Amino acid sequence: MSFDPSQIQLPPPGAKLRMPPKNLRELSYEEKYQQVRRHLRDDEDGAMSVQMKSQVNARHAQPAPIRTVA
Amino acid sequence: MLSQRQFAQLLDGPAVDREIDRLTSKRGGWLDVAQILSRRINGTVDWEPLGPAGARLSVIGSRGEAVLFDDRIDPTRIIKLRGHEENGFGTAGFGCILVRNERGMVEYGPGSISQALDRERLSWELLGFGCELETMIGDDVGMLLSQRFIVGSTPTEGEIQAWMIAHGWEPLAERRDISVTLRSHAWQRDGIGAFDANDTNFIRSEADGELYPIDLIVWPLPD
Repeated sequence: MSFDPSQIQLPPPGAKLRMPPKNLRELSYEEKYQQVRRHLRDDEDGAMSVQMKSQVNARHAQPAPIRTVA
Repeated sequence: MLSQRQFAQLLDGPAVDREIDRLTSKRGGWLDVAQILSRRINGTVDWEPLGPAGARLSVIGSRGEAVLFDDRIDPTRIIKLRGHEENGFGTAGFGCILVRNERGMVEYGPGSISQALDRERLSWELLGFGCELETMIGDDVGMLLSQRFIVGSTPTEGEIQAWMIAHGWEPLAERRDISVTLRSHAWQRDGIGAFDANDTNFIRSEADGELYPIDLIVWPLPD
């Protein structure tokens, strides 16, 4: 059954919001990309988030999908 | 709602290829991350051709449970793609929730679409900040969330702990029924857990110097 996103209101009405202020400057795509890589420690050898490690481990635990050719 | 083809055309295909090449070149476990990224995108669009260079959504990262995109039309926000377990989103599903496993330990489980959105609702209600639902893709094959992009830096673990305590959260580091790998970044307040509170999930805003939680797993602690 399809999900009806119109039923969802985010942020929820009445929630006490704590929104960050507007950024002081607008970053270019490359600057954003660098901030995200730094933030995720994506450039450090061996550094990987718990969730991503979990994804990788689960991937190894699953059998490879079998595709049939029509 | 976007069709899979419409979503594919919104994606900057060359940027996806560059990111996959970059991750592949790192070798080791990152090769798996590259393959997961490819599967998440190509599985979600059912191998429809991706858009040209400069298309609206350009990949800027792949986290444990989402692929992150820059939105060229509205650069004040970041777009998160989440999707089906079988499309590379694996144990996260549409977003991790908290479950109790067969040994009675609290761990992450794959959330459905409605659970993922309920998690966002809890994030707004308890943390004051979260994601909005942008749109669904195809026949509920994927979901796009948007979140304000915060220019800033990574806080320290100590700063995060101080922030959580100041906002009334209690650490679960001593709770033996929380999975060992999750315990050190797990908190609770009034029976609601806030997990994965590590330095990749907080940012210190350059504009006001305050910390903002950007991707915590907020979910009721399972009985």
